[in-house]
Amino acid sequence: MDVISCQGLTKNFGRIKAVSDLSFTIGQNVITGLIGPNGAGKTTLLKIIAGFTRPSSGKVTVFSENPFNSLKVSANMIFVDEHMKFPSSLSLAQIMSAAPAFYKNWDMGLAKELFAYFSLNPGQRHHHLSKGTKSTFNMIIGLASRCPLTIFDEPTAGMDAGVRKDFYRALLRDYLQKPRSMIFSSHLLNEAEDILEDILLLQAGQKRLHLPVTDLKEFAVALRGKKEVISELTAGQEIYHQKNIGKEHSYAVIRRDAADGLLKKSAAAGIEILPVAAEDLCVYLTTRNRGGIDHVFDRNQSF
Amino acid sequence: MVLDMVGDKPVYIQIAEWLENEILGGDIKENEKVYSQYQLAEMFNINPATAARGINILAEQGILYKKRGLGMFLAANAMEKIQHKRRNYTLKKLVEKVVVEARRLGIDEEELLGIMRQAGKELDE
Amino acid sequence: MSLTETSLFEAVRNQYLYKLKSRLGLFVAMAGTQVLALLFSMGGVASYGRGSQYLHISVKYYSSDIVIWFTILWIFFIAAQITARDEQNIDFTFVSNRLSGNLSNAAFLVTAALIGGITAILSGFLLRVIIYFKGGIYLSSQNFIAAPDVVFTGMAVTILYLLLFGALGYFCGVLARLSPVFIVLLIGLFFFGGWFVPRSILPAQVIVFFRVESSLALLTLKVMITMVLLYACSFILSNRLEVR
Repeated sequence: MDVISCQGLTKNFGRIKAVSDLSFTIGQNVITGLIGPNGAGKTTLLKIIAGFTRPSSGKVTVFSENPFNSLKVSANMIFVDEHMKFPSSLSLAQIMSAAPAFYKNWDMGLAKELFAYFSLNPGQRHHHLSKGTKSTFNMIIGLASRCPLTIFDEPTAGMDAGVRKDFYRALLRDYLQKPRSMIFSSHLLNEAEDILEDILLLQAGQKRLHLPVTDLKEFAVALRGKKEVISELTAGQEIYHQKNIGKEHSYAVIRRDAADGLLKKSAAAGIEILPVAAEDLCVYLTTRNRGGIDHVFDRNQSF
Repeated sequence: MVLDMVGDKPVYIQIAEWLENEILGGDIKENEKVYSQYQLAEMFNINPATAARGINILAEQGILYKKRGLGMFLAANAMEKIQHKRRNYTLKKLVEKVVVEARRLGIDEEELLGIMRQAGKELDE
Repeated sequence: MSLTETSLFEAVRNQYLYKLKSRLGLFVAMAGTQVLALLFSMGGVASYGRGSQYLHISVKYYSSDIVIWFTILWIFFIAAQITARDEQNIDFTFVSNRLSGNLSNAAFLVTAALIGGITAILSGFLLRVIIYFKGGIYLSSQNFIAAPDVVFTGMAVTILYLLLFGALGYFCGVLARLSPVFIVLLIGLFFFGGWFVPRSILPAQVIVFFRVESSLALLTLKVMITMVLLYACSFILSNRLEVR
């Protein structure tokens, strides 16, 4: 059974389309990375899935129900982000003791262990916490609630490198203990890559890719060599990214299954064939300008 | 072992190779249960689906076999299969690279063999 | 992972208890308001004096009317305040939908009305005790300790008014959330409404509808119906609001 299903999902803010004709499904017990640059529509999509906002058109179901105003979805879903609100009158310890009433799978042992590990102060108020500590506390709530659908929207905002690493490890270990569906949004793949199963790549509110991370790594290859040879070989191909290396060489990223024999031909022509890191590919696929930042400077120089 | 996360080699292939090394090293016996995808996921801090893909490579090659509901087990002639594969594929590729590099540097076959013997000695010490 | 089932009742109960715990401060504010009102009441809420060259009589009425009015103001403002976006975002951090959030708020306001009503009436006794010990005046003793039925009727009526104004405040808060235009309109209506609407028509009649009712049972009925209507409108209007 699909946990989430979206069909032709669109959300407008005035004239801007934050999410545009999005269709996809997410299966049970999959950790999905929702990746895209700022403004790609990640948060908007997640808030629709959580039932916080309504789509302008299209259909969304979570656990086979429309999430907007669904208690079933709310009881089985937690949405963790840096804007999570808690009563300013309650201390962190009081918030933690209030949570089990809401979530039947709540694991107080885990919550307390994590709380102590990250040396949080039980008497502190949530709104007095620093950005990174807030993220850490919210993450603990998110993990300990053990909801069948756990949504993390940019969960590592403001966390130190060490805490971030611990977070990914905690998330994975908790998932291994209690497999469940998780969505994890980030503008970069970075450290999250290895713990993800699938990746959903958004650009300007549209779906760019939705596939297993392991496939993403083999989705594209880079050709490096003489400029003319490369432009000849890649003629008619969709080039995801291209840059010049010095005056005579260039580097071009294309689909691995682009054209039969293209790679063999390239090898024969003395062109190097290199893998493309998943994170780089995500950036290439979601940037409008194929030449990247170098393009700006190269063009500027020619005047 | 720590996986090479930034290198060219996909993680699931590294998992498959690590399992092969364990088998070659005699750490897993024939008809014995091998690590589950969840154990591997925890050991290497990766998604269990990625680990499963590494296990499946070996299953497809007949090095592992599946017992329903019990997990993956080491096939009877797994050791030979791995040795055969590595000799005819992995080692061959590595040697090819070495030869290409040697030619680029103008090293002849005799000298190359000498270098290899020397390397072997150093490893023994 | 198997899904958990939650009933509306369960969600409302959890939210209600959570809100009661986190909004204790509002009751401290209530106590403060009532103490302030008591101080205002110390001089008597109404008085008249008569005197000649040698004798001066001054009659003062002491009552907790001011305390009741202040408590009504308090419940009106907290009711409007708990419709704020931040408060709704707190609901949606944990398990909630718009209906359960609204219902738990209504339950909270009913609790507030009960506590506010009881304490407001009891403060009347406190006032009399203070006046007694202040001395220097002759207390007309027949009303010093009121008959229980009078006390309970007073409490009931106070609670009814608090329920009414709680629902009204909530409704105004929801309107304000829907559009800032309503904030301007509501303030305009409050201060200048009398200029545009002939006195005999709307506001006066509304007040008469409740104030002139001498039967407690009928008043209860009127308040209950109005309250349910106000909440129903608030719930329907806010049921499509987007959160977080």
